[in-house]
Amino acid sequence: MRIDLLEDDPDQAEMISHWLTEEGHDVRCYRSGGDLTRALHRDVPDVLLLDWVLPESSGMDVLTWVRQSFLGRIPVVFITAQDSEEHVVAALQAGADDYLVKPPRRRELLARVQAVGRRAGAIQPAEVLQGTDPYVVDVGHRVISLRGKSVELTSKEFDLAAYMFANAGRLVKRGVLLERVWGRSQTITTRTVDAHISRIRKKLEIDESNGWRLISVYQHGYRLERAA
Amino acid sequence: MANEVIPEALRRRYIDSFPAKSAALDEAAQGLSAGGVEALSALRLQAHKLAGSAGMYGFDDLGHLAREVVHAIDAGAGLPVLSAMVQSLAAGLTSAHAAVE
Repeated sequence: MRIDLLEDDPDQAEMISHWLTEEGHDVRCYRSGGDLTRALHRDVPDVLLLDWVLPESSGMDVLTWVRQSFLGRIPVVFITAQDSEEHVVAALQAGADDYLVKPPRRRELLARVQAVGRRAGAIQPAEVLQGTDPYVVDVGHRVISLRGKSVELTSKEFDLAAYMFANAGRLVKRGVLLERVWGRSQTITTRTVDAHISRIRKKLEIDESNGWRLISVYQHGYRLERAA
Repeated sequence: MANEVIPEALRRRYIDSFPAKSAALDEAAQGLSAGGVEALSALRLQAHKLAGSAGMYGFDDLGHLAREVVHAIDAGAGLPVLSAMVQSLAAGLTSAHAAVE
């Protein structure tokens, strides 16, 4: 998953980021609420991790902004040393999806991040998609291989390809792909989707020789389907 | 946290920061003696960060001490109590650093 971490203490940011990266997540760290909110205008992550006490705006300020903004229901987890019942209740009532008191324990943090991502639909329940041969779409390890050979894809290309394979046979609208793969970023257009579709078609060699085709349905979207 | 695998490079970098953290605590404690409100705020922030990070790097005792400092400040503890706690925390950082040197 793509995870944005708001943490002003470099010691903590480094360790949390290490844990998440080691687990295969793509992590971006921000030290202030301003930096994070500016980044969220460009690109929306799957999960947002917020510290509470920050030098400028607080984690609660950021949470309030997120819930009132175009970002909608992006999952938010607080990781904070604020350990009173009042703080936990205030954060959850303001729209946080989960709350961890520092110091976080590695496995618990990873499990909670996984859980909120799963509830939000960012993670497919199955680790490897079924019925995609000769491709193997390993969602857990974020790898797609063709006839046993892994194909090099960027993070977004993987997300897009995995989403198309998970919805094989269905017409998927560009707007849906934009939301599921890029989040609801205002600066990404459907042309970006078209460009990525073109790239995954080429990189994964999706054509009749491999038993699949990825077709464009004019003015609607794309369908990945078995070649007859 | 003892069962967590902590990369040696990260742990080493964290330990290397102990002298600076200890010095900052000392400085804030001295500011407290001079009656500075800003010093209290700075001390709380340093203890707060330490409370968050120490346990992640396997220094649970330091994390507990730091958290106690935060709680003592929030509870309006007096200068003698706070000074003693800060000295204890700074000494803990110094000895943890010395232990790996």
